[in-house]
Amino acid sequence: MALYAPEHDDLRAAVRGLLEKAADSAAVRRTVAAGGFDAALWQRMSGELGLAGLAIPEEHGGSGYGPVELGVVLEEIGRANLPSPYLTTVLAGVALSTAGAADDLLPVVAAGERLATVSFGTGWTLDGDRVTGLVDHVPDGTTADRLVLVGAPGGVVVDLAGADRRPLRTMDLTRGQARITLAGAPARPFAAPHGWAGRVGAVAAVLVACEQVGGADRVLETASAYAGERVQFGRPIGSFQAVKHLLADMLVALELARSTQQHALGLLAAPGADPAAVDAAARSARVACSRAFVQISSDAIRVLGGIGYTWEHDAHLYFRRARASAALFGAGDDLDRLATHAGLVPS
Amino acid sequence: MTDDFRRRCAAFFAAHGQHPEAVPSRSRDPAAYVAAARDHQRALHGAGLAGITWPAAYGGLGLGPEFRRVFDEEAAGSETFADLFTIGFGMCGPVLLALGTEEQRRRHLPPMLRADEVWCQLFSEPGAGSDLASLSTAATPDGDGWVVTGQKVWTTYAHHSDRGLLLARTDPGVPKHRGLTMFVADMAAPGITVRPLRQATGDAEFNEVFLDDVRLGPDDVVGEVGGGWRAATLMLANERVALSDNPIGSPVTLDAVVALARRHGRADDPVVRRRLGEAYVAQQEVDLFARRIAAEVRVGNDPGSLASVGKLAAARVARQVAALALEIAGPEAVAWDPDDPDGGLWAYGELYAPSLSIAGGTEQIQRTILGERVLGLPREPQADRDVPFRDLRRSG
Repeated sequence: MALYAPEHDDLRAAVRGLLEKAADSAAVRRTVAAGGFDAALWQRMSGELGLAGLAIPEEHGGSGYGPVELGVVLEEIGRANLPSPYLTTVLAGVALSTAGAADDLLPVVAAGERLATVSFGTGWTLDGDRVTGLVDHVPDGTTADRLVLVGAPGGVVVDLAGADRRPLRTMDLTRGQARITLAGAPARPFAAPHGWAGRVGAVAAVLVACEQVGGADRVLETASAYAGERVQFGRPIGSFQAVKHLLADMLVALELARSTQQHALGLLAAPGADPAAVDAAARSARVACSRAFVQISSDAIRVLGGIGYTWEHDAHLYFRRARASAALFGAGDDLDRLATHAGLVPS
Repeated sequence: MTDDFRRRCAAFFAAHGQHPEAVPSRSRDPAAYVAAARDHQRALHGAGLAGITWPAAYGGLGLGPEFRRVFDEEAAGSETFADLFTIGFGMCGPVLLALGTEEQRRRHLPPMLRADEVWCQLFSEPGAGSDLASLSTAATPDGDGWVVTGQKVWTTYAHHSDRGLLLARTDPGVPKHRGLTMFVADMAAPGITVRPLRQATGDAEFNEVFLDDVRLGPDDVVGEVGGGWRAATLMLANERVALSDNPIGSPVTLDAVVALARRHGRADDPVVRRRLGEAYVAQQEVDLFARRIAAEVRVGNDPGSLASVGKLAAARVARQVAALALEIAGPEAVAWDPDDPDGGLWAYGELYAPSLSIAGGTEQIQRTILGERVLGLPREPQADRDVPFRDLRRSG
């Protein structure tokens, strides 16, 4: 069965239409300079288009769709390289709704009125309804209202209102991170079904992959267009094999990565899929899409030459996001785990 | 709708399916491999499962692409003998269906499906490899037919083939792309000499084919006289799809390398685990891209030049996996007991892998195709584009 239906094309067109108007390069740069995100655009995305609640069940104020629809939106956010709390907020929504937790929070998250983020970090302890510890590298941790700590056997919702959060300097100028120190902070622990943390981790990996594919697609478009226009030695530089083959290799990386991304999305959306297969597909997609985005955004700078290395050109903004998104949500042990999926079980 | 068909496929493979490791080795016993391949295809034909998507008028089943997928699912794990048959079913057959005359289709497609006639592709020449359109094998008008003289090379399985699609120059007075014509050639015709070439592995799967005053009739022209380049392009596009859907695999699989690592006690070696994890992702990329392209073809979309992605990636992963095996096996990969029938596998795989980067269009050609036809980049200026063929500078 095909992954995308005509409704997905409509959704993609609606999001792209909005972002092309409201989040062009100049708008993104204004937001980057001001820090955080464009609150008016966020209201239109969550209000007019209902994007924040896409994957939250209808009984909690969402529209009951799933990862495929989130993936479509995230590809478009990736294309625009938009600073947006979308990834972290919808991931938190998935984490809470799949655990059947925080029913009161879901409707306001679905409406875009509260922002939330997620950490898979383990440096915290729970004592009754108080949480203590250091939660580092929390994406959107400076702007989120709530933090969902994903652990086992369940999770914890932390209200970040009074929390000690230190904004980090980030390579990626489009997504902030915070170091959050919790000292007996009020928290709401919740139980979750078996395998929940692994599932949320897989969703995180695949949603990041979607954003990466969108960004890589846009960067390759930009670099190809430039190679077709820029003339040296009396010819467009894209007619030289050295440049053409570099761009072809970028296309190969993109289309291979896209295949792993679409497969992983399909498995996430399939009811009753084997959790081991989902884990393998999600980790493969994270490795493939992270590498593809890094390769493509870095090689694009080489195709663009001097102009691509300037602060004024957007190429470095995509390259920065590529590098940083490869390390989002703790991606360190993917290759080792994939060796196990390939059949090399540790002794 | 497909349920009954699925049952028939399952019944066929239950009765006739052969494990890939149980069939004669293509490398060590090629004659037995070819005989087993023909037997298998005849059995398929006898069971009414050959030519699933080809029209019934030409011996096929006339079914939709969804039946092909059902067949592939039921065939999983069994030997398909694709190495021998891809040129016929994946390349020559589709060209005859698209460009052949009614008479040609009725004459040639049914025996192809019964494996009574195995087909090869007579394209490359010593002086025309990547620049295929510069080929010089000449077809000269003679009476109502043609006389062909020249030499072909790298002709896979020509020594086991009964027929081939031949690309020859019918008009040297026009630029190279415009003077070509495609023909059906009978490999048993007087004047055709096939000489196997030994490859770097030591196998002899491809050949030199010498054509000396070979007579072809007017009915042997496929498509238009002078329209050979269009026919060749169609054939090569089918080849890319066939190769990305069913890549000519390396004999060294990732599973075999995982088993090798276990035997060598390297299951906990972080470097080996990392390298295997990387190979796993690369293999997943190739498999999932092939599945994506096959799904596009099934709903009637033409993946076109994008299929070159699969060919490039399949060649790269074959090299990666073969090289990893040598790294893990160490000295035993390069020197083994002559009594060990599998002792040479890792060396064989390493020697085999480079062929995948050349066969069916080199990696450089594939990248140019992707750059120009998918990304829309400007073409390289070509000095020979408007020059009559007979005035071109050529090597070989």
